[in-house]
Amino acid sequence: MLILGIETSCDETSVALIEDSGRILSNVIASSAEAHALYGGVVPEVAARAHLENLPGTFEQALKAAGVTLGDVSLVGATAGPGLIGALLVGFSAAKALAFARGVPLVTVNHLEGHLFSPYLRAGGDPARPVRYPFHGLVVSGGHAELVRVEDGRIVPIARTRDDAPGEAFDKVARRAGLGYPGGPVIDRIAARGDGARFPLPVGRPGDGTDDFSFSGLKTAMLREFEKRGVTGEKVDPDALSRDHVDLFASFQRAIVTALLERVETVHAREGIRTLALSGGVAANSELRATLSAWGEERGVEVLLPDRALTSDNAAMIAWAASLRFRREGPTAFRDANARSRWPLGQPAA
Amino acid sequence: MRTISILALDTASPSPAVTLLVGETAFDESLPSDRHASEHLLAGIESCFSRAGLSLSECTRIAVCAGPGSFTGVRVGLATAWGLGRALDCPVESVSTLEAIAEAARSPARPRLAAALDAGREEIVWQAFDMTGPRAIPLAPAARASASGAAERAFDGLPYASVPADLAGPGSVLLEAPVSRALALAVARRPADGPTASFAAIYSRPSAAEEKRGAP
Repeated sequence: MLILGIETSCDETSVALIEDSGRILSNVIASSAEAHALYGGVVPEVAARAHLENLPGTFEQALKAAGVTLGDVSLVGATAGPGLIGALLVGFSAAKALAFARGVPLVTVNHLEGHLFSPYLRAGGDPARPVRYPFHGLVVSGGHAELVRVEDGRIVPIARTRDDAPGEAFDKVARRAGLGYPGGPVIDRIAARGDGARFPLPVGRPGDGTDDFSFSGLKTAMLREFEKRGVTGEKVDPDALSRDHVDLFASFQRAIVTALLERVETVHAREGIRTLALSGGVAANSELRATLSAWGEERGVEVLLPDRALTSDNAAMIAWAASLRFRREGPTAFRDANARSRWPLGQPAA
Repeated sequence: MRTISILALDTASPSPAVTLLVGETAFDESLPSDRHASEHLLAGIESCFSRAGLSLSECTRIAVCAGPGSFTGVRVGLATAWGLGRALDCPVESVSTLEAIAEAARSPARPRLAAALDAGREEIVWQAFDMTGPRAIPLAPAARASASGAAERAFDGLPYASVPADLAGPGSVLLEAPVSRALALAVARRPADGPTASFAAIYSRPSAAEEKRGAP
């Protein structure tokens, strides 16, 4: 069974073809990140325009790279939310039209569910690892921080961020420090040569007894540090930072990783699940990967890390989530379905 | 010879609709004019084909309003037209919404006319067309103008059509059929030559972020 995936929820236009074994035949991504770099963040209307320009070419490239034709496709998986509504509507409208006109089933996919199952995929052309339930899923990206329990046929939310997502904190701090956009990779690189224990930075918790995350206090603490140190936001060379600044960024990254680890630890102690699947753009962060892996070894928890190529938004993970859902529930009645900007994990499509 | 059947989509104008033209018979379906046009688009298309007793695969050409108009509507229309065209292996022609509006106002009494749409921020976007041939031909590029009293000032005394009516002052041409039907009829009279159009959208203005950076 050949599955076509289409993803346009934020600033990456992606089209993928996978087999129902999870083997990835192609996973083409066209990013409009360069256009957004001018503004220091994703501009919804700019993203939506770029999706329409990029979609037809990305689609043909994906078919060609997979060596298949549209006639070979027997299931379409399309991201229907959450995300930027104007961006989502481009890929979702196109996917609906393709499935409608070909008479093949379509499954509407929650973008976060795509991320959740992405650590089971393998980028080198191998079938996916077998999915065994239950597992804990931690999705960390520019828009989300979600910790959930994934059971067979059910996703139970445990914790989410109340304010900024970690990737958003990376971006805002980097922009304010003149390090450009996106912020995650550059801070990761700087932090690798710094002392993350040097400046203890606060990571707040909502004081209501939930396991939720909060990262806006940390971001504000960093901005205050910048003010104190005369960091103006003017463009700087990340390789020519002072020792103090390098350690400050390392401490910032350490604070985010520590907050995530603490919550994983608490939830593991309470629920005792033996598998943790990390995903999302921030799952590319070296320190987060190393820290969670080491923790897993110590605790006897299997920690699944996504292939770095599959951490950013991509359509292979959407096709894979569609395939898993299709096996369990069959197709979505999609003719009158619409994309939605808000779609919390664990809730059915509206 | 196979009867031509042209599917025309307009989700760009404020009165979105789809039309299936089979020979000389037009099957129209109007769509809700709010943000939900996209939910009803495939149902509208399905209804047109079912009323005509045709299957989707018998479509010989697709035409779509490429803008100006609602930014989201423009993209939903183009993305849908692309998906249908690609899946049915059917040529797609994307046409300016202003040209389609001019076609909707076509009459021997009006050899030249202007078409206008809301462009937001108290502006309209408009364009003048020569209507003496089988297809409307632009006399100048589309331009934005202040919405108040634009008809007298900007249209150079030409009759004008707009969706909704009287957008730039009283006296606009009364449109009797949906813009999508006029589009289908125009494409039936004279399809565009050569390879099918690109899926480039026509926007009335840059995004707000780009405007802030000084884009025209």
